[in-house]
Amino acid sequence: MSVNTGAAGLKSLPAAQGFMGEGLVAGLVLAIAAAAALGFPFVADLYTTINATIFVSLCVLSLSLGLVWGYGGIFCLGQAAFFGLGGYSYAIAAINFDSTSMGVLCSLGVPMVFSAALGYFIFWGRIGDVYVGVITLTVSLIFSQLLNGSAGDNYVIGQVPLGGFNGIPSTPQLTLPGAADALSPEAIFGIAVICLALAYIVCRLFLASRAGKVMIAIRENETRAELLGYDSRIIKLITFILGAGIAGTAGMLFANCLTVTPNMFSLSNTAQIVIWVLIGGRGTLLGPLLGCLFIQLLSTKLGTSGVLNPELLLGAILIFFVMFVPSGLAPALQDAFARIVRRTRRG
Amino acid sequence: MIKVKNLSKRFGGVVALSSVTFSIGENEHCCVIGPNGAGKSTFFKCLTGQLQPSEGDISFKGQPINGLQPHQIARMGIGIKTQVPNVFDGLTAFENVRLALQRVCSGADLQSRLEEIVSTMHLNEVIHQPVGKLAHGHRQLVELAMVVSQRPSLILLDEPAAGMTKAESTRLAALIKNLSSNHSVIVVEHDMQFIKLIGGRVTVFNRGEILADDDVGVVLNDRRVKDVYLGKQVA
Repeated sequence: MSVNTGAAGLKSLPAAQGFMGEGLVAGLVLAIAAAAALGFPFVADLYTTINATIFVSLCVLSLSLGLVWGYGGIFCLGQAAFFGLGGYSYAIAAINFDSTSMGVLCSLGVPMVFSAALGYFIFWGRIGDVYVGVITLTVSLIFSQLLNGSAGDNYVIGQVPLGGFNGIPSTPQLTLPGAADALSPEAIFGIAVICLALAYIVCRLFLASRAGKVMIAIRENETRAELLGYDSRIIKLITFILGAGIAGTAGMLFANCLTVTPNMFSLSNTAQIVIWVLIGGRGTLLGPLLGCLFIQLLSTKLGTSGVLNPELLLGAILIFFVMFVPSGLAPALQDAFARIVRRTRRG
Repeated sequence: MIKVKNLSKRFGGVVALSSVTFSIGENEHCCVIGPNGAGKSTFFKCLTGQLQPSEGDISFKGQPINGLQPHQIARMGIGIKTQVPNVFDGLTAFENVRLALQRVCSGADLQSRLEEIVSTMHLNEVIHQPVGKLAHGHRQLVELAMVVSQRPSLILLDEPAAGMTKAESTRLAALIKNLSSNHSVIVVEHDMQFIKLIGGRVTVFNRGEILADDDVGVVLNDRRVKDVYLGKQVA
């Protein structure tokens, strides 16, 4: 372009952001995670520790949809499928190979490979947003139906019977590579917290990368992104695969606490993940975590007290948030905090 | 630069473009006018791969581009500013332009080109505001900045002056003339004053066909053009 420009007096523009700031955040997140992993079991009993591990695994799951839907704009109702695939892959590989390390690898790899194949057809087929939701939900329900009907001797992978409705009850607990003894519930809690911290850091690094910025641009306006020369299909596929890997990891952690059953793929599970992200706030990473913790703690409390039907109250909470806090918990808290800071400065 | 031969586009029984033959050379500019529904935007969509032609050939720098995806055509060097501002509403003007630039450059080069384009387009005052909250004219400029910053060989501008003040459109006309010293530029526009400011060649579309293609002075005095588009009172 040969246009004359007078850069003098130009309002200063921030330079392109690097990974330096992200490195600091990653260090801080890991330090908090390590402190929580080491400290929590000292103040909690065994039951609370196992329950907390389940919550952490669900937080990892909510983070996966927070990335795929909240940032990528892909309305995926298949996170439950990847969660279930992660859990089943872990259980099947850990028993067949007699190695939980192999199980961990499979819990990550199988959902990612499956999502790559599914995503290829979805994104290269230029399937519209609503239909992506329909297709991914259908995939979850197909797995649910398939595994519910997998009782009996005919449904065995290697030496692992799939167990139909009852699932795979004897899932081995995580062991350190080469060690024979299973890790304690406290150690598994620590690993779960570290996994959550790592998933969070991976998401942040991805968002800070060029591909991450293009992903957000595609969410905002896919046509414009394409007209600028970006192939939206590849970016969407990468996001989809990354989300599946994180959901698979959540499935593996979940399988270390509870029995792997077809319920992992269920419609209620699918809906619950969407509710966590909606209530927590789309377009943030912290929001889905807050949403998941808030809903799960409330459900558990109501379930044990028996005072009120938990599902009724959760429905009311969802309606309240959709109507009065549509941006979600995290953005609302962020706005409130910003207002307080502004008032303090003025005062 | 770009050659279009016998281009037709049909939507079911509706013929949007019918055997259009058109070409533009390097560093030339051309204005496209025509009544609503004449096929101007469809023509642009075919050139950028947003629509696939029903018939005909389009070649850019000697390479056929029929059947290519929009991102592939953009990477070959065709940039488009669409009729309705096509921007990333949730992001700031700065982020919008940076996203356009990060495909073609990085580091210090990106920063200097970013500052240059922001200054050229007079976006300094709104650069850190979300584009969704900007006035229509500013949104137009942000989109134009995104397109121009990638330095495409061919720039397609679909009604770039819509919603702009007279001062802004005069400045834009000067910018377009300036751009055409280094780029080929095709402008679709309804504002005849704006077209006169740009000057040069004008192509008139009517009912999916090219009605006239000549210098602006000749076209504006063409009886057929007056009948179908300008009205007899405009001379």
